Amino acid sequence: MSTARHPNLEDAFAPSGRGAGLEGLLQPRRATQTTPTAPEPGEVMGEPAAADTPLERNKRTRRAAGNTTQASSGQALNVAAYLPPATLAAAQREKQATGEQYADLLARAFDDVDEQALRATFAPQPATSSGAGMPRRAVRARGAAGIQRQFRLTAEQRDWLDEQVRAYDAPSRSAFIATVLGLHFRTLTQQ
Amino acid sequence: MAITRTVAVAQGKGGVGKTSVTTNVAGLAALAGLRTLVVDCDPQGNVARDLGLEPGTGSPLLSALVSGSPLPITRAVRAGLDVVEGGPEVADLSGLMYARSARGGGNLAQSLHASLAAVADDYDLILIDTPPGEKVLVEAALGVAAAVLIPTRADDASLDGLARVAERFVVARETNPELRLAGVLLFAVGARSRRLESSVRRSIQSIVGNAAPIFEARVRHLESAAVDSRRAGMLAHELEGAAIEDRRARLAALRAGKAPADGLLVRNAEGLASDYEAVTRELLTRLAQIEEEVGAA
Repeated sequence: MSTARHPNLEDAFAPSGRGAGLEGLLQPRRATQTTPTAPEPGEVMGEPAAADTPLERNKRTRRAAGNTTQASSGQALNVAAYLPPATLAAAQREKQATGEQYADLLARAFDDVDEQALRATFAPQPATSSGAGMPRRAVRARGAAGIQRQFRLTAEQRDWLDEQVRAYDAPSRSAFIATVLGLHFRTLTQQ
Repeated sequence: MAITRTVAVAQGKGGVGKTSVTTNVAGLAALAGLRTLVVDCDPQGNVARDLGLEPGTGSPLLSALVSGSPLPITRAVRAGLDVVEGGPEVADLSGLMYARSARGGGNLAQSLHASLAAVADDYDLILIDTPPGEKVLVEAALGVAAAVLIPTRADDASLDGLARVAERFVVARETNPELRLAGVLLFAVGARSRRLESSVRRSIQSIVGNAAPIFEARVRHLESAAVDSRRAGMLAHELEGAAIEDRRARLAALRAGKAPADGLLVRNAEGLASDYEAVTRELLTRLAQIEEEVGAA
C-alpha cells in the first residue's frame, strides 16, 4: 500500500528537545577546564616550569590576579569547600578581625603555608604491617567532614587552584582548601 | 555539613516514585549539560534497573562506605550521568555503622560525607535515592544533602510518610544545619484528577505550611510507562522516542499484513516526559534559590 498521498509526520512525532529548556537553570559547579594555559603576566616565556614550585607560582598568580574582591579576569564565582569545625571557627575569627573575604584569607594562607607540610599531608602513609606480618595498604588523607563555605574566586584563581590540587595529588579541591587553611591556622590536629 | 548541589529524594512510604523521580530528573539534568551523579542508597537497587543496568548486590557501595575506599562509580551510563549502584547488601550498613558508632567511631553520615566530598567537585548535581525504611540510611543521606525532595502519592498513607521524613529531617538538621526542604512533589496523580489534586495540595499545605513549596509540576500516573521503563531500562524521555518508533513498526507490520511484534506497552510517553521535564526545571530553579539563601546566610 502506497503512503505517498499522506503527509510525512516524522517531524510532528519526533521527540521534542528534552533538556534543552533546562539549560542554564543551575550554573555548572565550576568553569570548564581550559587545558592550554596562557603565560601569566610577569612570567618569562620559556622559563623552565620544573624550576617552579607550586607555591612560587602561586605568588605570581596572586600578583596577576590582584585582590580577589576586584577580579581582573572575569566575574568571581563561588567555589565550595568543606571546612572542619576548628578550621572554620579560626577562619571566621580571622574574617571578622580583618574584614577580608574567605578568598583573601585563602590567598594569605597559601603564602604562609609550608609546602613540605602540605605535600606530606597528601602523601600516602607508608604501608605498615599488622601484628601477624601482613602488609597493610598505603592510605592517604581523603579530607574530613565539614561545613560548607563559599570562596569567591576568579576563573584564573580556580584554574590555578585546580593545578595545585593535581600537583599535590589532593583528593579534591575542597580537601585541598581545607588542608591549606588547617595548616595556616594550625587546626589540622584538632579535627 | 551539607554538600552543595546534593539532593536526597526521600519519603517514609514505599512506592511513591522516589527512584523514578531520581533517575528521570538525573537523566534530564545530564541532558541539559549538568554533570550528574546518582547515588542509590536503597537496598532495592532499582536505580540500576531504571537506567538499564544489571541490578547489583550493593557490596561495592557497602565496602566503600565501611572501608573509606573511593565510591564505586559506574561512569557514563548516559552522557554526563554517572551512578553509584545500590543493592541488598546496602541494608547491612545500618548494623555495621551502628556498631562502629557505638565504639566511638564515625557514623554513616560522616562516611558518606567523606566519600561524596572527594568527588563532589566533579559534579554539578548529585541525587541520592533513599529507601522508605532503613532509618540510618535515610538520616545519613539527609545528613550530607543540601536539600530534600519529597515525592508523595495522594493517599493518606503517603501523607503519613511525609511525617516520617519530617522526623528524620529534624534529626539531620542537628548535624547538617544547611539542609533545606526543596519541596513536595505529587506523584502518580491522574492528569485529569483536578479535584483530587487540589484536595491533596491542600492536605500537604496543611502539613508543610510555608516550609517549602509544593511543586507546581506533578508526575502523572501512567502504569504502562512505569512497567516499560523498568523492563526496558529507559527513562521517560527515552520512552517517548521509543514509543514513536514502536508505533511506526507496529503500523508497518499491520500494513504488511504481519502480526506486530510484542513491543512497548506504552503508546505515548510524551506527557510523562513533559511532567519530568517540568519537575526537573522546578527542582533546578529551587536549588539555585537555596544556594543563594545559604550563601547569603
